[in-house]
Amino acid sequence: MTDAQAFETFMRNYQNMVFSTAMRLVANQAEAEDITQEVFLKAFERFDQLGTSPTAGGWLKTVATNMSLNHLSRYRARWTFFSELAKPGHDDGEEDRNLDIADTHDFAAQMERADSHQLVEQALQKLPDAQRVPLVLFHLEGLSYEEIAARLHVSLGKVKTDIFRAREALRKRLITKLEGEICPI
Amino acid sequence: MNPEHQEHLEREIDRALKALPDITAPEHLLGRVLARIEVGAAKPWYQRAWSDWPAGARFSSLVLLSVAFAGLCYLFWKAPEIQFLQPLLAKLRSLAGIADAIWSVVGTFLSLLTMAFRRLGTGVLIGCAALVFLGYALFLGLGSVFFRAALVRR
Repeated sequence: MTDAQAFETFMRNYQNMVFSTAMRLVANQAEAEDITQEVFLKAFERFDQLGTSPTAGGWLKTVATNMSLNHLSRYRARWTFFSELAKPGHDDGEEDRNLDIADTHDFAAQMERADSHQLVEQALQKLPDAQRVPLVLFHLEGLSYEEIAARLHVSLGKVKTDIFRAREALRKRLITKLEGEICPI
Repeated sequence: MNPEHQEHLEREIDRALKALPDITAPEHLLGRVLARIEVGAAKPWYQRAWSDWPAGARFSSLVLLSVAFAGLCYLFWKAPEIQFLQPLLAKLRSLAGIADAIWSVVGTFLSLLTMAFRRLGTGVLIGCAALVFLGYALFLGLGSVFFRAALVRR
């Protein structure tokens, strides 16, 4: 097998994982494609070590996460400053703090009833950056609250609040969508 | 805030997110990356990043640069004593004279500005600062509106 063929196989094996990591963080297909491309170009530079390494997947995931976060902080920070202030319907957490446990049981039951992967993916992509990014870092990348605060250069309290709001917003969006799917009006 | 509700929601969201399969990357992505790699591979070695140069070329370039740097340092150190560099030094001194003249004009301009500010009074200065701040905020606001309206995918 030539180097080019070996790299092609390597990329086929990992491209979905890298693309998913970028897509869930930046929530934009074109940007996620650019990031994935840059990750694999970096991987090609050190393919002699990565090609046979059992930790290649971890390396690719880390690089994809770092590049996505750099991309978000470089290109979006200023623009989202004002847009986050008055984005309607994104503060779902505040108004739902008195929810009782029955709501979440209902949510879990409905999630089991429907083929929910696509709905979860769509709902996740529609969360604002400030909520989606810490949520993904916590649940999918396995970072602690403290690590997320350090990576995003925000306070620990803000990370906790944003993740709480993100979960509530996700739950609300999913319940609405699942109800629409199961009992279409 | 109900802690039991929060814990339960955290578990459910965690389960739902971790159960997500990978998103399928677009078909054209592999071709794009391979094309970029081919373009890079077609470049001669001296047009690539220094870290990709052959080891011999990297070593030679390091030696050459070190010798050149040492030579320049020696030249600057010994310049006043070297006869053929005197016309060049004279030219450099005249250029330094021009820089001096420019600096004195800038200095005069700055002192004029300082005088003008002192005469304007604190109220006018605060007003100007507020105007600048408002202008910047307006710029950010309009930029955000443009971003929301034109660029963000709904």
